[in-house]
Amino acid sequence: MPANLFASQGSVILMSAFLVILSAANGLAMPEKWIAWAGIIMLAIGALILLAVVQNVHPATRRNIHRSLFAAGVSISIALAFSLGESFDIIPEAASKRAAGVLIGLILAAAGNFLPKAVIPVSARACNPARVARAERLVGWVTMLAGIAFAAIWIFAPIDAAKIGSALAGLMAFFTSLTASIWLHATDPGKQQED
Amino acid sequence: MSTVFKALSDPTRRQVLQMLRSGPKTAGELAASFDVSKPTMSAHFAVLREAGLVTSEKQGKSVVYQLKMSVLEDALLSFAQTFGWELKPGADESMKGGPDAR
Repeated sequence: MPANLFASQGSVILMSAFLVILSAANGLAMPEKWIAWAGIIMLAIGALILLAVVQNVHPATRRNIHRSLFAAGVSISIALAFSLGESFDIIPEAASKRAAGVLIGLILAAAGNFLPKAVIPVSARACNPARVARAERLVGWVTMLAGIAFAAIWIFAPIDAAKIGSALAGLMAFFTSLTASIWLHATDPGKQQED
Repeated sequence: MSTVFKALSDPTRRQVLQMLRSGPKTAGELAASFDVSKPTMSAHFAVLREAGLVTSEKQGKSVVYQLKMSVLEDALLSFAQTFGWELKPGADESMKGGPDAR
C-alpha cells in the first residue's frame, strides 16, 4: 500500500537523508547561501528527533505525523532540486520560481481537500459537531479552490503578476475562511443560549 | 477509489451521506428515514465505512455516524446526486440479494 509506505518511519528517515544530501549538494554549488542549506539540514535532523518523540503515540496519529513529515520532505526536496538545477544552469530561474509557486498551490489544494476528512470523534468535540463539520467543509472547499487558483496563476500569469495574484488568492482564502468561522461561531444557537 | 465509486453508486447510501451533511446522526435516526430492513441498512453503513466516507462511534447504546469526506468526494457526491449514478445489477457483490432486500 503506497499510502502506508509513505506513512512509515523508514520513509521519513530516507527522506531526511535525501534532504541532507540535496542540501549538501546545494551547499557545494552555492556556498554563499550556507544559512539556508544549514537550516534545511537542521529541519531534517528535527524530523528525525520528532520521529523518536512520537514513538509511543497512538498508531493512527503516528502515521499521520509520518505522512506529514514525508510530504513536507517531498516539497522541500523538489524546491532543492530546482535550486540545484538553477545553479548548474539546467533550469532557468523563472521556471524554478514558477515550479515553487505551483508546488505551493498544489500543497494548499491537497491540504484543503483532506481538511474535512480529518474527523474528530463526536464525543471529543467541545463545540456543536454539525457546525464544526460545516465550517470544516467550507474552509476545505475555499482552501482547495484557492490552491488551484494559486497554482494556475503561477503557470499562466507573467512572473510579476503571479506574485501579486497568488498572494491575493491566498489572502482571499484566508479571510473567507476566517469570516465563515466567525459567522458560524457568532450564530451558534448553543452559544447564544449560553449568553 | 473504486470503493468510493461503489459507495456513491447507490441512491440509499447517497441519501445517507446527504443526511449526514447536516451533522452527525445515530444509526436509528438514519434508518428511520428509509423503508428497508435493519440488515440491509447495516450493509449500507458497512459499505460507506469501508469506503472511508463515514466514521462511526458508540455512544451508550447507539452508534453515531458522521461524514468523513474529502472535498473531492463531496463534489463527487453532488455530481452523483445530480446525474443519478447507478451500479449495474449484480455489480455490487457485497449487497447480495439486492440493496433493498428485506
